[in-house]
Amino acid sequence: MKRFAALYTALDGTTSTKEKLEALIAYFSAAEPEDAAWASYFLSGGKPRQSVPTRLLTEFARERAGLPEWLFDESYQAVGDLAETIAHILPPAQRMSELGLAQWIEGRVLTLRGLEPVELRTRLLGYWDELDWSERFLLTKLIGGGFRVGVARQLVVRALAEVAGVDHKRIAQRMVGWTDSRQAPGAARYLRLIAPESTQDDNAATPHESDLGLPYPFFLAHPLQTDPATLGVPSDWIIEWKWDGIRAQLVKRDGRVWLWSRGEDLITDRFPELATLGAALADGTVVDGEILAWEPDDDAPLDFEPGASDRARIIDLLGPTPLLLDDLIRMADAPPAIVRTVLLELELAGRLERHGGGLVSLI
Amino acid sequence: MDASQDLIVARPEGLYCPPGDFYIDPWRPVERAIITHAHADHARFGHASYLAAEAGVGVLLSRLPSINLQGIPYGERVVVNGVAVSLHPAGHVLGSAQVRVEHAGRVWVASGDYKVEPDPTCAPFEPVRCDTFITESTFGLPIYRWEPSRAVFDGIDSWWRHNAAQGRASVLFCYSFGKAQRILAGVDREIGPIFCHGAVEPLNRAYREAGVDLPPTRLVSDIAARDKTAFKGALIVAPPSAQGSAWMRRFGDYSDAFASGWMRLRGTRRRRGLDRGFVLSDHADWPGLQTAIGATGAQRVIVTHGQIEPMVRWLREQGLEAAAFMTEYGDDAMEADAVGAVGLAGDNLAQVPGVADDAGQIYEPHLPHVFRNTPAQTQADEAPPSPKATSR
Repeated sequence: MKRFAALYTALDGTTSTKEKLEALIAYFSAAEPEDAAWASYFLSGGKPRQSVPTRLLTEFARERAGLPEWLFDESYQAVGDLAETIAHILPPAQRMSELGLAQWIEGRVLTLRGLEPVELRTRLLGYWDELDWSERFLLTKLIGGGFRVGVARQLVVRALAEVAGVDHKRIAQRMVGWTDSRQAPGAARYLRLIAPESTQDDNAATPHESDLGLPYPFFLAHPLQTDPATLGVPSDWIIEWKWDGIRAQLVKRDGRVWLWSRGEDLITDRFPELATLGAALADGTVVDGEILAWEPDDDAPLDFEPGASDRARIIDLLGPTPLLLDDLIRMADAPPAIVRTVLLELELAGRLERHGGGLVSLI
Repeated sequence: MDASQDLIVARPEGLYCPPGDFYIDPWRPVERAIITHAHADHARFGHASYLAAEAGVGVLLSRLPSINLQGIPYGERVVVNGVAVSLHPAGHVLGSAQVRVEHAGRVWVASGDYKVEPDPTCAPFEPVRCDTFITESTFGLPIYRWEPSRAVFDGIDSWWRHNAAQGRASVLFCYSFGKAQRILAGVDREIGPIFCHGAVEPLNRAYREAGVDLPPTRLVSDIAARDKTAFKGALIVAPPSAQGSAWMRRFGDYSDAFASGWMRLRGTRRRRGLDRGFVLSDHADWPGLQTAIGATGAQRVIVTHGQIEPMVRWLREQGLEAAAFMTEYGDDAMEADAVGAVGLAGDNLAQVPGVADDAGQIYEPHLPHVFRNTPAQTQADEAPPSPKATSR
């Protein structure tokens, strides 16, 4: 728990992507697999269910701090976050805990559900008294079910790839469904996540599940450095229009569809329409191209490239507080396609966090 | 209680002692002013005579040159129109004092701003027994609880050391008077060179002249603006208003941080858009306020600024007679300890021109007056040249 809290503090304390990545790598290099399993689960958006009702959490914390209800409310108003308020008002801890994250989660947090208030009270007051400020904040977040951390999933993927010595595309693939609540994180699953790439023999027999959807290296265009005449006659060439769309690769294999960005991040769930279309392709088809939006019957794509003012306006509306996509589109007064493009740019730059229920915030 | 018996009352000019006919930290010009400390919201130009703690004479004069000032040692008693007045350390900044006023068997203490935590740059807070205690409440909510300052300095040191190892400058924003010197005295001076903004350096001088041990510092403006190598690995101490100004460009690759009690709250810290936030305040935290108030033995407490309503209500529930004075204190603390506590203030600060002036002129940009009804002074009144004009 200490190590995970230190990681959380480091991630929370910096806006630099590079420093966040360094902190993640340092954590995953040192953490026990069972702890790393839970950490990667939480960091990539997995959320535990609320195990103690908010009303009881508040009541126990108030009682421990000796505060009247109105003063707790005033404090909460000033902080704006329940777990943080609780962490601030509790008196300093009397003891220390050396339990790891997995022990805390499996042995303590998940077992709280459904307990009688009397038992909950004893356990919570005891737990709080073993933890420093940042650990209490985390524990209360985890118990209250509202845990989230300001780190993009791509960054977690990159850190794990670095630690595992495995290509990050493969890690990204292995992590598809990682936060599925039907599968509990555990050491064995984590070790499979960071396992070395399969050897060629393995591939020949049954391709590793995670190898299945991998894209080809993107074929990049470069400006011609020599005289165009050196290329020969134009009739030997096929000329393809360059649009200002989003470069992507659509992979259809084994009845499944993957969409990869130019930076080789999985963006399938960002374009559900394309995933549906891709399902109609024959297995083994890979399309490398640009994502564009067309109105039916138009002879040119929609203006998909956000203007500088659109971008500035949209970024301006975003902040650390999660905002509903619909509200963002309405307030930005820009076409949804433009808003989506800007959000995708931000996401690929590691600056956007997506929450459930169509909420987004800046990191 | 009969208010006509009160030793200190609130008047439009400031806190007033009727039998002694003097004011404490008045915000409008008066004949006789007793100054608790030299922060701009407590010490202003325009009074005919000033009385302050001897320890703070240097800093006060560095900010309000050529005022008619009398300094008295802590604990020494002077009689003003039959009222016994003495000044006692408040632990806030160098020379900060609580004002003890005694008349006809009653004792009142006006604390100004204070903290109870030890600070090597000023005399420690001294509890003074009284009937009525006038207290600040800047951080008067139970969410404000400071870590021991040694832990904060360790955090600053490791941030600075990490940046230095990467060949980066470390720019630390903090209030130029008090906080800056406390930080200078607290950091590990072996890590690298230390530079200060032009608003900070004159205060350093006043502190050194008062015998406070500060590490060697240089003015940022002593380095040619094109020379970006001089700041690699250095610590630069600057007022928060420098954030986002053209003045910052000279540092090339840098990490920035803010040292303030407001950094306790994650939201406040994140809204500032800084790399780091260090929780370090020159005001008492919630437990500190309770300890200080309790130690006075006062049955009556009057709250002047900060979290007034929660503090008054809380004290009443503790069985004390509590009330509030409307004052104009706390504005400075906004810039000071602060910015970001009120979103508006934070936003405006980034745009205050003139912080690029580090040519040795003391300049604390005045915030548009968030709390006051008086017309906001235009920035042009007091702003030195715009950042553009001074960035070389």
